[in-house]
Amino acid sequence: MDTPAKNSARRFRIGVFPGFGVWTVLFFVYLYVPILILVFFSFNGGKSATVWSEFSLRWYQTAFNNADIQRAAYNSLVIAFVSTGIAVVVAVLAALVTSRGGEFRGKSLAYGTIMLPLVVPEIVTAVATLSFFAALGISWGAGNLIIAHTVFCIPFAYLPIRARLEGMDSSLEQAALDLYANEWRTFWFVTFPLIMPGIISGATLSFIVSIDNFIISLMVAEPGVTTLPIYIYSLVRLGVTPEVNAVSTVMLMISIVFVAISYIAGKR
Amino acid sequence: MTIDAKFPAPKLPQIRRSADSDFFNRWARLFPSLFIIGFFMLAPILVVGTYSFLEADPYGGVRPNYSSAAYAQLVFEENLDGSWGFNPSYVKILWRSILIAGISTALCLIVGFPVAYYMARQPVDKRNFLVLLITIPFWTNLLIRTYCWILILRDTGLVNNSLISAGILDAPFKMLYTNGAILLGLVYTFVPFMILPIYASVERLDLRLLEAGHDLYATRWQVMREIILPLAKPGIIAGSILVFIPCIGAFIAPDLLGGSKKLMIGSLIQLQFSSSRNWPFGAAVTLVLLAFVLIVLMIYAMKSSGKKDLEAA
Amino acid sequence: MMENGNGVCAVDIQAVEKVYHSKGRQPVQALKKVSLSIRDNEFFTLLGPSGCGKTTLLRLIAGFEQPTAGEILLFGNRIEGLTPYSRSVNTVFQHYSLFPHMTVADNIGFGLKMLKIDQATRDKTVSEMLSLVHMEDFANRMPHQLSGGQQQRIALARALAPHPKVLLLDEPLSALDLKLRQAMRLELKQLQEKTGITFVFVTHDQEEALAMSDRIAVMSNGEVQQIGTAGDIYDRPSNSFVADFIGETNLIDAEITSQAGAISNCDFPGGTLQAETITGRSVSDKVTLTLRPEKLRLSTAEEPEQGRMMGHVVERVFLGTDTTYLVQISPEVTLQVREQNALPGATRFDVGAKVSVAAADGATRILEG
Repeated sequence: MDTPAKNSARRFRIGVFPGFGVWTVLFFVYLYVPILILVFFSFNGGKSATVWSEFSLRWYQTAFNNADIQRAAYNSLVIAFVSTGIAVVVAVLAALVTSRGGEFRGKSLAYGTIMLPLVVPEIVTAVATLSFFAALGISWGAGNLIIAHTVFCIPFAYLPIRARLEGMDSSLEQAALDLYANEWRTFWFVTFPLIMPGIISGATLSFIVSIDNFIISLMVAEPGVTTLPIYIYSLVRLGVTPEVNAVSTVMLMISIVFVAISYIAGKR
Repeated sequence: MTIDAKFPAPKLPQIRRSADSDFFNRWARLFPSLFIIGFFMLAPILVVGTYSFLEADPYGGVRPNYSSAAYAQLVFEENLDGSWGFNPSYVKILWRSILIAGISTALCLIVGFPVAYYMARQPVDKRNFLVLLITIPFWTNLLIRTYCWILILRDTGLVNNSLISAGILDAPFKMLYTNGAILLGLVYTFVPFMILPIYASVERLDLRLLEAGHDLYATRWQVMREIILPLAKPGIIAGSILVFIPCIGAFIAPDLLGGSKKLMIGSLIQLQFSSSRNWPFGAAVTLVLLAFVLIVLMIYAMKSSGKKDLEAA
Repeated sequence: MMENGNGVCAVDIQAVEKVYHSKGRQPVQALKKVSLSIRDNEFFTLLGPSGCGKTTLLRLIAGFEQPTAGEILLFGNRIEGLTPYSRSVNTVFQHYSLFPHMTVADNIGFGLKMLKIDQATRDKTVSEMLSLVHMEDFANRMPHQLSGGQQQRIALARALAPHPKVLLLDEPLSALDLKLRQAMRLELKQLQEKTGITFVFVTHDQEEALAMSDRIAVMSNGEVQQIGTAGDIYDRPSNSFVADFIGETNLIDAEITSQAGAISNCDFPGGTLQAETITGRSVSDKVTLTLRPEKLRLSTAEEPEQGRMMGHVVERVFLGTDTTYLVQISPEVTLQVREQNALPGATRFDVGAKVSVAAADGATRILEG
């Protein structure tokens, strides 16, 4: 055998394709470099969003002192907290039925309904909700947004809780029932602590998708109720500024911290 | 049987009582979530459906009179003399949306498959870490991630600035507000949806099948074509649907990276409900989009359930 | 190590070593300078307990892994540089590894398709193979619609379809139930004779090995312990590992007290036995004797005689066709004795009974290793 063939056989490893590793590295560069550029330029002291002059936190200061941003951030947080709270409670109840309630008629229909917000394009949900509120004359300020957000938060809260329940042996609950705990006590002392990681994971994910939601918020928001993404959008439409970079970086960091919490909770 | 009668099996505690109370308990617990989604999502979709058959109120909203003008407007336009002529502009937008969503899906597959495959072949710790790296951008703000590309692509953005200062370009090369920018943004946003399902199906792949393939004279790329790709097909199809659906209704990427001239369905709908104030037309376009999505999903559901039947047999 | 005499060498393993390195762990030496030659048209078995290196050796021949040192020759050609898909060797995998997305016919035709054989020839070969394994009616089934035994046959047909020079079988019967396994043994042997292809069969099941093989290599600890026909390794095991691994045996530590030409007298607590003298072992050497349980006879006779030991039964296990007794002949030595139940006038001995144990002529062997 000549040498090249020998080398190729020596290096031959099953299931390994040449170039895939390099491709993956390049892919992660593509995935992360834009974000890193944004973060980098948020610390730019100059007036340009993309020409570096010096390190400075001045745009963070500007952003934090901007009353509009403060109001938008406050709205976003309130909406996210309330929607997440409602979504988690109803998702736990639903997950207990679909994962522990045995087989019953309409189960897959119920499951499909809960998943619906993930399937329908966001723009459809957005204009549908807008039309609906207009038709019924519902004008509850931030309440409109809370309702709209709760809808799409439910599947995000539901999925991790369900996954946790499915991965959990139901004999634990049966053991508790066997040991004279009633259903409520069984839930409270056995099921609930065990699905806690799922609840944390679901809650953080709901919180993130609510905080980050843009299209539905844009369409449904009543005049005067601005959330952070809507505010950022209005700034971006006007032009690229270092202040946008700073606000965006803060939002990115919030998401990343929450994803990390969800990931760690999920690993337990 | 006699033994059973003498020594009955110990009864396991069962979470089960009469059928009636089971029924009540289940639906009582399902009610809140089903109510919220049913009342605030399904009902609104019906409302939009209704709106599409009503007359537009020029101040926004609708007037309660039946009209099919919204659907007619999709294809025709009223000429100055009152006659109706074919108007291809909206059909073009629909077609453009389908085309761009299709190309984005194909690009996501080309970009994502090697990544998903490589990830699935790593040791378990590294694998989990890479999955986390893929999911982090997915959970960060879509708007902001798209905005990042404006910083890079615009005429005074990073690429043009550095190419001009390096003397390679004299004038900025137009990258923002092109179809290419839209595709770049869509792929960037939705490629995790492609990677994760493919990753899941490749991870389950039995390496011994690849050995068997090589043993039977298949080269590396023949193994890829004959064994890996067919077995990863469920992941590829699921990923394609997960990318295609949000792409076709996308709003942010076409709006920010495509500019006002490169309309897609998403932006068209948004416009009708905001500045154009033609709600019935917007509703009609929404229904067209929804119908399209449902058809895609139904084809998928039928195909995958057909496959399950076959596997069950 | 070239095979002399009749026949060509199908596979020649020359001082092959395989070391696995993994991060943070001691390197594992899976094969230690293994040399063996497999003749053409031979049913050759690699036999050994799990972890003995037999599967590693098979994977080296198939090309899934590369040897750390040494050479592998296929019909006289070095195959070291060849990828698995350029070796005319096919494998029947332990878990069959049928392609789940292809029909039975497509599975069988896969190798030929990869070799770019035309459709007509392929179809012909596929139907030949299907009839060879008696599965004509299953061409259009999917693998998951088949039972384990059927999958096994298809895996066999798939590996035979490209007419390989050597067929490697990696414990192909281990996933089948006992009845099916026994039926498949016969079939495999017939198939090998019919096709004339060299079979290299890996197993940990000695019965399988003894039933089918022309020759057997007993492996342990990454080394070949003995190569020979079934009769060779059963009757003339070269060391205590082989003696112990193949069938059941009594291993007795003894000392040679005298030698008279071809006969050595070996003493041990409780008795003296005569065995064939072997080279390199002389008077007053410590040796290990092997003595098969079925070559011992129990009786009530009391007169001491050459090759007869006195003891008492400590345990009796009824095994259907025969009965195994444990007979203690001294505090140090307990012998296993197997008596056939069907023998006319066979006596049953109770636990505690005083018995004498006699060894058949030539039953006692001195181990070399």
